[in-house]
Order: sequence, then C-alpha cells, then structure tokens
Amino acid sequence: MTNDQIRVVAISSLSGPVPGLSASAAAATRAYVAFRNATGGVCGRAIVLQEADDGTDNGRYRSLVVSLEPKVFGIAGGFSIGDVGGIDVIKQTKIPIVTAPSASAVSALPTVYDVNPDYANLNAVIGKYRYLYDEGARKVAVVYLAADQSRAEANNQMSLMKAARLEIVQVQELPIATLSYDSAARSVANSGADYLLFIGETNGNASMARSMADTGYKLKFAEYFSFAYGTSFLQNAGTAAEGTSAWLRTLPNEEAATNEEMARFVTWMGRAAPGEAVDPFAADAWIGTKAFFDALEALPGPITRESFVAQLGATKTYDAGGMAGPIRFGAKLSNACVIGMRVESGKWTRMAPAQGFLCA
Amino acid sequence: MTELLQFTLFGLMLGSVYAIAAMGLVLTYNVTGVFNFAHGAVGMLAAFFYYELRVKHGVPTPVAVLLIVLLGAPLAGVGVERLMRRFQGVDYATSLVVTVALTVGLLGIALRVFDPGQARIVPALLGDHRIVIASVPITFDRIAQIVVAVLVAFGLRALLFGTPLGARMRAVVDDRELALLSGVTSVFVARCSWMIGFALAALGGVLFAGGQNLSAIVLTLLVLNAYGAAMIGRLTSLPMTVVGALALGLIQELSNVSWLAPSGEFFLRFRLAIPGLFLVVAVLLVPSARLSAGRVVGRDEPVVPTLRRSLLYAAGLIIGVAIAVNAVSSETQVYVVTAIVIATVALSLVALTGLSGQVSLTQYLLVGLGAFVMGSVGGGDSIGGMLLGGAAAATLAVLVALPAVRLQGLHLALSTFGIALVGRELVLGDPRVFGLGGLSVGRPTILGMSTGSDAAFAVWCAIVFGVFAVGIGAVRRSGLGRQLTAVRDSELAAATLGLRVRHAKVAIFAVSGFIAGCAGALYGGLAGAVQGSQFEPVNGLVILLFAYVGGITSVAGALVAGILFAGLSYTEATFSQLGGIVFVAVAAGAISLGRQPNGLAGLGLDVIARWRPQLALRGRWRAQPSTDSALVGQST
Repeated sequence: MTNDQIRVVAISSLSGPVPGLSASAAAATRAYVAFRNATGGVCGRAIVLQEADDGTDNGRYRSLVVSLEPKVFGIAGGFSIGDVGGIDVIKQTKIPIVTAPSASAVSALPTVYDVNPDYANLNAVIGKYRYLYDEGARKVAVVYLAADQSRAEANNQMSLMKAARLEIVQVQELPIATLSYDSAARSVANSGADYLLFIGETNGNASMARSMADTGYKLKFAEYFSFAYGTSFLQNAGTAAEGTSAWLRTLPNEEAATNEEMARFVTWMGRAAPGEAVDPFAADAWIGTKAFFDALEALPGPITRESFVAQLGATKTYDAGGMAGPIRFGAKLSNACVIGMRVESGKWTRMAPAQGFLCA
Repeated sequence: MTELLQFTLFGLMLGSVYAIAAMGLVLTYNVTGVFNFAHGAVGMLAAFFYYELRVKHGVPTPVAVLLIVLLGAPLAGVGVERLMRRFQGVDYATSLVVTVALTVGLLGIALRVFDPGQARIVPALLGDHRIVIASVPITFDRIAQIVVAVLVAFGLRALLFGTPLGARMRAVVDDRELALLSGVTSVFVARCSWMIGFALAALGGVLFAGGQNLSAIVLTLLVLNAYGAAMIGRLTSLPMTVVGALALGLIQELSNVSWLAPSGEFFLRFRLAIPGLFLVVAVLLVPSARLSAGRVVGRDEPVVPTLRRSLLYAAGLIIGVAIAVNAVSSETQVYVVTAIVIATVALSLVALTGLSGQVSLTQYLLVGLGAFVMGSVGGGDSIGGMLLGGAAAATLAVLVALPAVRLQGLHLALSTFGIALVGRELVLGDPRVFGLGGLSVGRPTILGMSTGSDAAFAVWCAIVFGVFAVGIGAVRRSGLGRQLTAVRDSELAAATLGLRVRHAKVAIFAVSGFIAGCAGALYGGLAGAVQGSQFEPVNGLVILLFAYVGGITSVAGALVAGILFAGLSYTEATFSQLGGIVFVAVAAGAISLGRQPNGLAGLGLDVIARWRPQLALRGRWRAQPSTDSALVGQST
C-alpha cells in the first residue's frame, strides 16, 4: 500500500473441472472496485485489484496466498473453491480476507471474515422454516448431488428443519452423472412430502423441476437451492419452474430500485461485466468487497493489517447498505435472514416476507 | 406394489440405456480386442452435434439422427479404426490408455467447441407424447430406447450369425491368425466393427440426450456404469450383456423402493456404489476368459542402473529441483511441487504396470487414503504420518490384490476400477473421512527445517521421489524384479517355470501401494487440505495416461509425466482460452506415443543415444532385437 494506492487480490475459481465456475463472483469484485474507484477510491487511495485464478485447486490457492501476500494488503471478494488449501498459510501470514469462504474451516480463521457465515445454532428455529411450517409444510424430502458442498449444506438444512418440527420423510443423494431425474422425482412424490429441498447445480435444478412437474405431484413448496435464482433456471425449466421457490440472502435483482446499494450492484455489473450472471455468487462477492473497503474506510487510525482485522472484528452487524440481510459480522454468525422468492407467470416474485428479510 | 411396478419401469428404462452402451462396447471388444473407454465420449459428442443440427440449424429430427448415427459416427469409426490399426498386437494396457486418451481428447473438443456454461436442452426425439403406467409418465423417447435396445440386440445377433460379414467377424474373434490365413480381411472386419460400435455409441448418445440438458461430463461418465453389464456378458455374449444391463438398471432403481431398501446415511452412499459393486462382482464371479499364454516380449526397455548410478541420479534430481525451484517465480514454484508429486504417483504406476504389467485403476483411491492418514496422524504434518499413509495404502493394495490377483489384463483393470468406484462412494464420500469442509494436511519439519514454503517442499518431495526411485531400481535388480519381468512377459510361462506368480503380484501391489500412499501424503501437503472429490477414479485414469506419455517403464518416464502434467496445468492457468486444447494436446501426445512404451523419456534417451552413441554402448538404454519377440499366444 502506498499513499495513493491500495492493492488487493480477489481469488476465484475460473478454470479447472468446471470452467468459469466463479466468473460472476470475479466480475462482481471487478465491478465493485470500478465503482469505488469511480467515486474517489478508499481513504484517498485508488484501489488496484489483482485478479487470480486458483484453477479450482487447493494447492494453487495456497501458492497464490504465499506469493501474493507480500504484495497486497488483503483478499477481497471473489469466490474460491480451493480456499481450504490455504488454511495454514492464511493462519501464518495473518492476511485479512473478506469473502464467502467455501468451508467453515476457512471462515473460522482469525483474519477471515465471512459474508455468508455459519448459523449460530443449528438446533434453533429460524424464520424461514417457521414460515414454511406456518404455511402448512410438514413433511420434507431432501435431495442433493453427491458432492462435498451439497452434503454439507443438506446436513445443515436438515438440522434446522428438524428444529422447526418439520419431518424429513426422504433423503436422496444423487450421483454426479445423473442423466434422468425421473425416478428421484417419483421417490419424492411417493414419500408424501409437501416440501422439497433440492441442492444441485444449475442444470440439475432445471432437470429436477421438469421431472417433478412430470409426476403431476403437487408440492406445497418446491425449493431449489439459491443457485436457481439469477441463472438459466427459468429458461431451462420452462413451465416446470412455475411455483418453485428459492431463498436468497440478499435483495432480489427485481427490487434493485428499492435499495441504493442493490441498484448500484445491478448497474455496475452491467457496466463492468456486461453479460455476466447477476446471481447469488456475484452478490456475495460484491458484498465481500464492499465490506472490506467499508471497514477500511471506518478505520480511525493508521492502516495496518492488525488494525484492519480488529476493525473487522469490531463490526457488530453488517447488511451492505440494506442489500443483504443483517449478519453478525464480527462474531462470524448468521442471523439466518432470507427472502423467499417464487416463480409466478415465469418471473421471480417475492413470496415472503412482504418486505425486508425473514430472520431467525 | 405400485411402487414396485414404478421402479421396475424406471429400472427397465435405465437398463435399456446401459444395454445400448454395453452392446457397443462388447461388439468392438469382440472383434478388435479393444475395450473402448471412449464409448461414452463418442455418444456425448454425437449428442452435442445432434443438438447443433436439430436446434441450431433446424434440421428435421429424422434427418439429424440419420446424419449423426449413420454417417458421422461410422465415418469417425473409420478414422479411429485407422488409428487403432497402429496398435494391433500391443498389450491391452496400451490400447486401454489409447482409448482413455481418446476420451480425454473428445472431452477437450466438447469443452472447447461447446461452451459448458450454456444450457442445451435437447428436444425429445418423438415429441412430448407419453403414456402413463402406475403414475409413471413414460415418454415415447423412453419407449423407443427400450425398443431400440431390443432391436439392436436382435439386429447384432442377426448380423453376426446370419450374414457373411458376421461370419467373418466371428472368425476373427475365434482366431485372428487363422481367419487371416483363410482370407478374411481383418482390416475390413475391424473397420465394420468400429463403424457399428461408433454408430451404437452415437445412437445411445442421441437417445439418452432426448429431453435432457446436455452435459459433456455426465454423458461421458454414464457409460462407466455399463461396464458391469458388459462383464456379465463376459465381453462376448450380447444376450447376457442385455441381461446384465437390465439387472443393473433394476437393482439400481429398485433400491429406491421404500419398503425394500434400508434407510440411513450409509445406504444413501451404498446406493451410489451399486454400479461399482456390480462391476466388481461381475468380474470376480463370472468365469474369466482363458489365460493369456503370452504376449509380445522383448520390447526396448531401459537397463536397470546400478545402485551407485541410481544414487547419483537421485542426488542429481534433488539438486536439480533445488536449483529449478529457486530459479522460478514464487507463483510458479507450486508447479514444480506439482510435477514431483504427480511424478511420485506415476512412479507407483511404474512399479506396478512398468515392472509387472499389471494395471490397477485403484491407484487414486490409494493416493486418497495416504492423504487421509497423513492428515489424521501426528498433527497432520509428520513424516510418521506419511509412512503410515504408505503402509495403510499398501495394506489396502494387498486387499485389492488378493481377490483380483487371479485376474489379469482387462479383467484386472476393470475389477480394480469397480473397487475404485465403490471406494469413492463408501470411503471417500463418507463425510467422516475428510470432513464436510476438507481435511487439513500439513508439510513436515525435517531436522528442524520447515518445508512450509513451496521451494522447501519441492526439495522434500524430490528427496522422497529419489528414495523411491532408488528403491524401484533395487527391486528391479532383485529376484522379485526378475520374477515380475517374467510375469509381465508371460504369466503362464512364469507359472510353468515354477515361479510364485501370485506372491510376486501381491508383493508388487504392496510396493506400488506404499508409494501411492506416500504420494498421497505429499499431495495433501501440496494441496493444504483434501476432500474426497479430489480422488475421483477418473482422475486416476488421467494420471495413468500421463504415466504412459512420460514412459510407464522407467523412473525417468514418471518424472516426465509429472513435468508434463504440471506444465499443462500451468498452461491452462496462464492461458485459460487454451482450456480444451490442453486436453486435446495430451490425448494427441498419448495416441502418437502409444506404440512407444518407454514414452517421451524413451524417445529422449533414444535421441541422446543417437547423438552420443557411446552412451548407448555403455548400456544405458537397451534395444533388444525384434527377433526376440515371440507371439506365444493371445489374450481374449
């Protein structure tokens, strides 16, 4: 960092087995920095953003941290699948990081701050499931792809469901090489579930929605994990998307006009990364980058890594200017704030709550 | 009962998918002796081209199907036949690697040409018509799938037993040499077989893709499940292959019947392991094909260096790595580490395949086990952890070898692949093994010196590699090494001579497993943290491919494999626009080096020997005269 520049790096998973996996997150970080530089930078300094690709590889992430750590002030935004590989060097170098880490083991590190932190208590009733229970959901089918991240998410959600007295009547792991989701959908129908939680990748979401529609079985709630929102889900699932839902931790793009930060996010994504998906990955990366520079600007004294990390830790609540549901940022805990969206007439529309976020 | 009927229908539909894929595999294998790992990739590419014709260019469905299945695919089959002709008479492992290379190449083309981020929903071939049985809507496409599976089974049988071409095909299958003497043109027969095989793969791809969102990986991997069905038919019988395919489809789908299937977390993963288990059981229980009496012996191969020379080479490597890793930028040092770690994995393959001719596809499972033990013992960063990882992997390798040791050739490869598939679901997929967020693996401190930096860790990896390289030299010079050479050249002859073939095989499985486990510990240190998904069996196939390109017969080959792997990773990371091309380059390299068992390392040493003949005269590279070769028999 110099008197007129502050250098940060955003590490994303751009190449590897799924090319472009975090392209929207990388684009959102770029967009935020472009916006911030266009409005005077931070603490009187221009932000220099270095973008790096971890190749979806833990070792390469580790190596990037080792080699870039002496050259940058910290790591902001982006989204990396390989970040677990950097645990020991992050601990060692104490480099400040604000992002959405891929695993709890990373967000638990003292210098890492998470814009999508863990639930405070997996055995507590959260607003989302209270709402679903109140709306008549009783029996849940949980279906997910057999991948590390999906398993972890499914386990968390099942604990929270049980806490809300939702009965899990069916759990299915699907192989990565699933061609047809018809039998999985039939199993859901046979289970008598009235609520489906499906955790898969974008294409899998659409395929499962179409298979569910083919069964003719009526679910009260058919939730497709948040990746369904902002991606090609609507286009791919077609009419089968009708009535399905997704839960977001940020305001939906459709409500950009109601919030200044959200409007800025959508506008600058269009300017700095035209054509890139404005999806939950992008929203997290924007919020992570914003949180990084907001904390930097709020620093009362000289800018050092130690003081910056202390500032991050002292931030009690953070909601990115109302763009996201508030989180206990310094404590690295979620308030489980979400917005339920449902597809109606081919468009995502707000399902719950009427305004604001449903929190724990 | 309704539920039973529903999932029986799903089972039949899934079974028909497997049947079409497996019959193509069986037909090609029968006539050409090549187990075409690329069968799924051919179907995948056909589905993508069908989408382009049908959706992008508005070609009517029947015309698009005919163009793909009856024109494009057979033409591609002709091309592949020409390619595979070069590999006539090579050992099964080489032909297996060539088809793996073909898979990688076709995947590379698909990723390059068809943006994976773009959704491609293939319209149903026969429209949205459907019938409903027991609340299960069955589209006409799915019915067509079953009908096509039956028609293909009968059609192929009619072809084989009712036409002159079929008679020639069977003649080649029964005895290639005799058929040649009888005037049967084996090239023509092989060409027809490849054309039909490719047409079936394309037909399968187009049929499976109807109504689905295309995914290159999913379509390519789907055929892996059909291997078990092909083995039920002993890779020869089409009716039994269909029976196997339907049985597998039914078992998989009936495991969804709530009152039949147990519940619980273990069973969730057990269901996913069914295709792997089916393959293992099929290979182990179905009587194996007749024993191979021999193979082409006397290939050019590296002379085993003396202990002194091995030590000198190892020291040179360690010094070379120390210099190289400090000469490159800090961002590039990770690629030096990657090169040595992958070279160590490849070295475990040199020990197994290079020394004894055995092909095990569980190697990446062993690497994963080594990484797990390393991360779980002694704080995750101890040398003891690495050695224990090696010991655990050696133990597992022996357990794999014990039932598989009576097998050879393709049967051994497929049974170990099945074990790897089962291991992926039941061991690596168990959240208690690597944890849901991954298991941290550290780098050891040696004599008070930390290997935390990439530069220091590269040197440590080079030391480990060097030790194993010297060890492999010692094994080669030992009585076990000579026994393994005999086993590699002809198992039957070795047994006839009184050699303890099984003991030798189990011993080399253990040695190779130990190296793979230690390589896993190094891999963990390189990655910092490991997850089950990093040890996919398919990744193991790719490493086998690199080992062949580098040279499966020598330590130098393993090193070249590592360097090549790291170099291509570097290229892919630096020039992301070359992503798919990197795959294609590897595939092309593997195919062009297919007849060169000593790989790039062998070629390099040949060039050196030509420039500096005295090196050859000093016996560092031995070219055995081709007259040593003797085709004693042929495996089927």
